[in-house]
Amino acid sequence: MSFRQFAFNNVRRNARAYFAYFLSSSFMVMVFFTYALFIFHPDINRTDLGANVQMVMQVMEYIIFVFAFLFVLYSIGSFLKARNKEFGILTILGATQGQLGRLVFVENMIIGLLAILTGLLSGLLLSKLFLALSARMIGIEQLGLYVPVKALLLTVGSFALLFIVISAFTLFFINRNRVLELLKGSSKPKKEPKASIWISLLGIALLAAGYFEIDKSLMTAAVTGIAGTYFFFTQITVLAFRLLKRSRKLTWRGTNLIWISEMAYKIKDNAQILFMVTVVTSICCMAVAFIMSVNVRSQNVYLEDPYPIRYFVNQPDQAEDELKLVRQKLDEKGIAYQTFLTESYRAQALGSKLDVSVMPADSYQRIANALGLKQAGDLKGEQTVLVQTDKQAANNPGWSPHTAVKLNDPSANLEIMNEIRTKQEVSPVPGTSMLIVSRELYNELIRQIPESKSFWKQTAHIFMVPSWTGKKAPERKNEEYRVGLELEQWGYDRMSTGQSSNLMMVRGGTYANHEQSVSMMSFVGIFIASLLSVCSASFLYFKLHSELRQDQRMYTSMSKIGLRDVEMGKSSVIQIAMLFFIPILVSAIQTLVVLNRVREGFDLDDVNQPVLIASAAFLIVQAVYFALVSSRYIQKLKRVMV
Amino acid sequence: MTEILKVTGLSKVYSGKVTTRALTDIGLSIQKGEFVGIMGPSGSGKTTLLNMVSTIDPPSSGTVTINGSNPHALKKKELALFRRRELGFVFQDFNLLDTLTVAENIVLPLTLDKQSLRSMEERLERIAGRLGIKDILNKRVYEISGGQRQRAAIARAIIPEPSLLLADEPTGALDSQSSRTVMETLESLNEADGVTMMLVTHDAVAASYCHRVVFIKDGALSGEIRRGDSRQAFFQKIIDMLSYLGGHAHELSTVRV
Repeated sequence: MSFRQFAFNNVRRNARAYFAYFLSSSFMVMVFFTYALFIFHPDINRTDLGANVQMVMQVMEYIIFVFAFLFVLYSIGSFLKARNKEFGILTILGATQGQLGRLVFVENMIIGLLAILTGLLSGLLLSKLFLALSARMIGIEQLGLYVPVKALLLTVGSFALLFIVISAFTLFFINRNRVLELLKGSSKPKKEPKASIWISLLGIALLAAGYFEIDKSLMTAAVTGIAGTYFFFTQITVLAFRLLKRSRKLTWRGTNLIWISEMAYKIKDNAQILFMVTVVTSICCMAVAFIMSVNVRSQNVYLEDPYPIRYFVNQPDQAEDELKLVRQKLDEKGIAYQTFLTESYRAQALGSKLDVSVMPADSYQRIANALGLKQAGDLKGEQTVLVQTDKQAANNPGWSPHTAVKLNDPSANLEIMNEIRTKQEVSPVPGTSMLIVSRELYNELIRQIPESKSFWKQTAHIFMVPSWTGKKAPERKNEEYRVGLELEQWGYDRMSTGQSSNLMMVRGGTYANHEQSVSMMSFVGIFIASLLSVCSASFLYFKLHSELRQDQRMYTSMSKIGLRDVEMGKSSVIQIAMLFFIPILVSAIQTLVVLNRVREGFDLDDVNQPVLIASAAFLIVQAVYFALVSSRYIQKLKRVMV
Repeated sequence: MTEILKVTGLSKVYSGKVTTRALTDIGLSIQKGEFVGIMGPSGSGKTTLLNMVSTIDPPSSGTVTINGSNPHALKKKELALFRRRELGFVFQDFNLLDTLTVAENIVLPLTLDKQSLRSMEERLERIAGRLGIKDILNKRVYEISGGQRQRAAIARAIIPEPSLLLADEPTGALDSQSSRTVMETLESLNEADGVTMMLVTHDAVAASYCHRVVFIKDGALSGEIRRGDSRQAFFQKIIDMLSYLGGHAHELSTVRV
């Protein structure tokens, strides 16, 4: 048997132990390769969105690579620890450190090579699906298959380098001077995990500080929150389990005694992993929930907007031509529409947090006719009618019929005669509630606005398109979505090139832009999240596997003194479940707390539902891994029960 | 007298590529309150016999009756309960859990049976006092000596008040001083508390604490000697018997590996 054969046989006969490591590595190669396929695709730059996604994907490639590096490094570390005894025997038989190093090196290279090969193959198989999916997302009809030479070279090159570098690293892991310790392996009794009450309190203080800092500085909040989470796993949970053990009533019952005591050790042993998994899951969860909340918000913005197109006139001399062009565009597409004109000016009212738009009665009548709202009625002198949504009403609590409203600049004292509540934001000027006054008063008031402040006055041409009902956020195939996106882009181009200074707001276009960036983010987010969850599950699997022998020994002797199979199953399932689900639970709570704190700052409506959905998704994925891992583990333990 | 253990016509054959006959037609009876030793050279079948008595391994033929019932007729689930309630185990390498304190290790069999906290604490108190390990109850396993570990393991074995205590080389991993305290503990449990015991050992000194010693060679019974008044004389008889059985006295190591 040559040396290489020896290494090869080691891998082949230890296949079960290496399997998860191999699988996760090739999964990582696969994801890396599919991303590379996308990045190097010749058609990708055809749309702006495509170019953006390409950039994001490049960043993702780095992240994946960093993760792959940490993952392989960590897995090798725990492998070598589990094989201490074997190395001890080899050392006693006279193997030099160089030979041991070479053995590990060759073994790793075999695994690495296989992982790269299978990763590339499965990546190629998946690429059709992946390209079709990404093409849909970035709005290209189809991304064809191509010969991915560059992607292939990049993947093979980076991962070969990764495995070589890490395998070379492993030489430092093996310290052959302590043969005796190697031979004993991990059979030495473990010391009781220590936890300090003061460091635990510090951890709690850090978490609390993180909570209160969210408003002031996100950076400080993140740092203190993450540090607090670290102490949560290394100190607080250990302390909690120790305090739990003080209650004999609780612990001296059934299998509680076994798993509660084991848990303190397991958590302490796995604290770093649990911490990493939690932080990463929290970040993912927050990102996903945030994206989902933004999505809900942009849908609500769409639904609250009654006007398909609003065109604000700042430069009257440009307006005529541009409006003609817009009409022409709509006509060309055979879209029926009506237009009307509103006038208003922006003012500040005493006691209102929001600006108000003061509007003459004839403008409002046009709005009311178009949207089917209640008429303002006859208005005389200082009389006014308040038009606002429920949400705005919450910001103007003191305003009700027959109260007086004082306006500044130009100053006026108005008396509210009546209030009209609307579901949608009917004021053409975004974010304002409306005060309707008589035409005479309006003319009187705008006369007082100085020339330099003429931008307070806002004239809006409103296009109503009957076929764009606005009842439901439009799909991508929807006319409003497509035409809206086009008009929005056209208006944006004219403004950014200086051809126009008149703002055009296109409801469908705004929504379409948001929708596209949300779907890009979720597309990338889903891949990252799935990658991370595979990694974290693999980490836990390795850790469990390296403790299997110890657990088997313990359960054999316990079963001799009468531990039943069910009791063994219960005790170990609880332990594995805790390792798998504590991070998810903690990150769900963190996400819920953080997003609720920042909710108002980002003008989001409801974050609880998105957080729960995102956490539930993570939970389900994790539950699948848990079911797989725990059933295999229990099976192995059952084998040693007598 | 009540018969606690009755073994009749017990045989064990391990089939496989090479069929091995581990035990042939063993008959053995242990009365309540007896302290019986099983001795024999390596490979003689001592451990196989113990495994069958302790219900871990089923016999190929023959019966084992413990306290009037045949455990090998029980289902696996019931078997575990049987072991928990009827049998106590003491192992060569203690098999205490590192993650538990000494007290927790001792009460473990009772907690699995979901007994009341008060009765567990009472029994723990009594047994710890009896075995002289009261002041180490809150220590961890790695903090105490080998002899203390074995006494803790004995406490764990007898706390459910089993009908039979099985000891498998209990002194195998101990120095002579600790061996003596452990054997004296077992002897006093047997004499003062009437615990029935079966001891499997290589160690003639340990065996000399028994009432009688049964010898096994090549899977079959090959003799039995009883203790008279003097332990010293009994020890000499055991040594003589071992040499007679074909082993050499100097070959009998005190540690079974």
